[in-house]
Amino acid sequence: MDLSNANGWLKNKKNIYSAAGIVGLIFLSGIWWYTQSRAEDEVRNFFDEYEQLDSVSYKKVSYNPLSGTLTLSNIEIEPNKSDFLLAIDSLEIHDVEFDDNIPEHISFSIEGIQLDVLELANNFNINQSTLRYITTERLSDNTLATLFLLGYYNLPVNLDVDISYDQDDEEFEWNFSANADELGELSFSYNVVNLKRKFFKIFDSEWMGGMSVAMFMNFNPSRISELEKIIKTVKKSKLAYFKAEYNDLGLFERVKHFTEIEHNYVKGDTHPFELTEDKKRYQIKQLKRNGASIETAESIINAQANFLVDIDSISIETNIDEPFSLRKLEGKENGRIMKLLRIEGNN
Amino acid sequence: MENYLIKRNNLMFLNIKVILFVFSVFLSNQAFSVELYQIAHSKKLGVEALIEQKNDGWCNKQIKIHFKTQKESFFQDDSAQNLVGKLIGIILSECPTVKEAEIGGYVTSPSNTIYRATAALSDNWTLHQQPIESVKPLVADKKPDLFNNFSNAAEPMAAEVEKMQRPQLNIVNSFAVDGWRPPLTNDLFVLDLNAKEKRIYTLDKSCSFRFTRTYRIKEEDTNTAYLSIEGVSCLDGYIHGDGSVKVLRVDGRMLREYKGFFSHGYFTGAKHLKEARVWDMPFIKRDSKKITLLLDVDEAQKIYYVGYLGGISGEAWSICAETKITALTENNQLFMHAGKIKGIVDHITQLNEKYCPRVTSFAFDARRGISETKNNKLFSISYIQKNRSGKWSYRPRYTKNFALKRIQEEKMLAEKKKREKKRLWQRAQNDYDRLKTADFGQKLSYLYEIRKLDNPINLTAISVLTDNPSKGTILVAIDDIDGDSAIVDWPYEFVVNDISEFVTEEGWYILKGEMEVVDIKELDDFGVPKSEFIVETAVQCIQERCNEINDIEAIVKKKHSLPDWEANNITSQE
Repeated sequence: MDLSNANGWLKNKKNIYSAAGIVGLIFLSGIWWYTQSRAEDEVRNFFDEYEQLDSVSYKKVSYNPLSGTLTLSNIEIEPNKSDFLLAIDSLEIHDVEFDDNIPEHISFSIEGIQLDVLELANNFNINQSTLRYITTERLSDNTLATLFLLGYYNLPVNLDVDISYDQDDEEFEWNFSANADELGELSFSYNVVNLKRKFFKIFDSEWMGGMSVAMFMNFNPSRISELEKIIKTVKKSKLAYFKAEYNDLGLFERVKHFTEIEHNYVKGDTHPFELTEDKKRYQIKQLKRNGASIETAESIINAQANFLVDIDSISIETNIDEPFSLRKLEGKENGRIMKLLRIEGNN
Repeated sequence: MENYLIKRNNLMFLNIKVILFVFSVFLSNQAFSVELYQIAHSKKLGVEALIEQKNDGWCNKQIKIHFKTQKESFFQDDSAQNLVGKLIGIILSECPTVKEAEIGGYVTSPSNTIYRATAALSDNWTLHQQPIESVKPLVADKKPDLFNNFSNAAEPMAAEVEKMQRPQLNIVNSFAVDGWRPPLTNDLFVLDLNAKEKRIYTLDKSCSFRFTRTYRIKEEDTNTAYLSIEGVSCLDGYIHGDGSVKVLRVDGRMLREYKGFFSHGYFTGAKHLKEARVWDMPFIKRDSKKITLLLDVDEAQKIYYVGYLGGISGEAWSICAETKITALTENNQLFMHAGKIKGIVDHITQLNEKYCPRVTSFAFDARRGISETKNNKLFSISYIQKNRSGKWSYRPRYTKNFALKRIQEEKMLAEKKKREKKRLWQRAQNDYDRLKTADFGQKLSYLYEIRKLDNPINLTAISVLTDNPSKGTILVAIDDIDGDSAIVDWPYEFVVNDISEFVTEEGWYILKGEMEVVDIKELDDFGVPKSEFIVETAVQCIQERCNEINDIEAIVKKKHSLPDWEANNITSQE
């Protein structure tokens, strides 16, 4: 082999690779550009289809073809004829997979839902409900007032949702998580089997619209019958697993502080949050009276007591070997449901 | 100077009072000393004019006039000359023989003479002032003693009279009626300020008479009168007993003569009147119209019976002139029973028979105290009459039973008080029951009348929301005082301002004022924005966290001002 030829070959090969690389980059950027452009169009079309283009605005749409994630940044939602503006830092749609209206997989995250509690309080009649709730001594059922009292004037909330449905196994799984800085994180996991696909009619916008009319405006027996069928479908399904968990990032510390002041607590007193043995026994007894097993009642009340002393996390979850028919839970007292699902409390 | 002259038949001059004595009938053959008599005085000038009288009277060729003045300036101008000119005119009309006058002037006493002058008719009564060194006291520096001048006056008897025993009823166990007890001595005898009387003494001042009938006798006569007593005794310096008393004028002329009975200085009636002999009963008091005296005591029923000496019959204070007997008692129950009333009436008729047998009707009242007021009247019979057969009786219509009425009123009042107390106790009990389930703030509000106790976090939130200070009342522990500000240590750290008037030491306080957010972005670990509390008023707690309010029974007692109230004790209300 001629070395010079060999060198030239090698040189050409390098050039070819370089050229191929450049072409590849151009191709990739073209694909990227195409996908970005396509994504923008798709998003626009989506909002257009639902006639929400006037209500929703966003600064940027991006799509990552490698991860398949569609991202909308700096979203502002302003419902029609409303002064209320909801700002969201970003929406990431990881996966949306429908098969004939059946959501085989939906996964998305929302970062930074900006809840301006101060502005909300000002917008929602400060001289009426909110102020009234705030002027009462105790933390109220009014969430807005409670958040305000506890100093959450601006609350960025993050959400993670993951839904999947296996048509073959008729298994539906739902994971939800919401968290906010200096407040806390709440998550749910829900798994049911034997859920028939007709349940997902509720995702059909036409069906939903018709149902609303049937329910509230024009009573239509055939539509009501359809709703009953959906409910029957749910009842026929079986719960395989459920878990709810809360991790405190500050909310309960603030509630504790507020309650201490409310009870004029000083060190050395019995803390108003403290569950004494007597109180624990009483609450366990109450749960048992409602049908809970002793194990369930003790684990839940102990988890609650531990959480109130050392505020960190608390969870409840089912501990069943076989999926349990939801129909069998119908009309049962809470304690009985806990017993049937063998719910456990943990920290 | 016209005002100083008093002329006969012309009394138009003001502020001068001229008293001229008619000396022509004056005493003779006496051993006299120098005497001064006021002949004129002027309030305006503050001067008295006195004339000097010797044993042969004042009307001589030469007279002496004294000016007693309140201010020395009287002698420094023409005042003395003018006054002398006018006085001489009057003096000459009474005594034309006067040719010369010697004038002396002093401020307080003749021994302190500050002015001396002479005047003579020949010189038209012009005053010629003399050197003061040559002045000698015109009269002795002592109060004129009239009695020493009259050697033929009645002999002083009082010093020789027998001392009588002090009158008193035989009371074994003295008791009080509305705080009053019978006096043990005459020293306690109380004279009403309106009850005028003149005390006239014997010449040796050892005994005296309470002269209460001054009509038809000139006041100046009583001022200088003296007493001549015969046979009557003396007790505590007052005539007391039976005998004769003469009241004599300074010149020896008799003004009055009393023969009969005397008690505690008063004439109580002629000797032929049995009822006039009341000296064995203590006198209690005298007012303008009557003298109250103790007639009898019923120790068993705790009654003092008192009678009265009236003064309507001539000169004597007569027990039968004031026909009324009074029972002094605190025993209301006596008048609840007809039998006891009858017993009292029987007794007072006996007293009347004893002291005024000729009196056939009298009045009776019962009082709860020596004073005569409407409120202390217990019972009264306005007319008790003795019929021909000698039996005493009275008609119901003349009777008023105040005691019964009072007892009924008192019973009603007691019932009312009892109901009121029950109502108050029940109200306190209601509060107590309510407070048992009340929280700290509610109890604090109850005791200190605070509408409600606020959580400072609530106030801060309101301030944030309204963008204005929010008013409220909070419980805090103040830790670090620095002038007009302090740091709150509990419930959480924040600054309080304007404290100087209310907070002077560290401790627990209830503060009323307003919370203002300083920086909404500067939150503490519990989400509370930086804020300050401006104090309007403050109450300092007694205990930590005002724990005093946890003693519910104590705070209910304090709130209702019922120190003897007890929780859950209904029987104590009865």
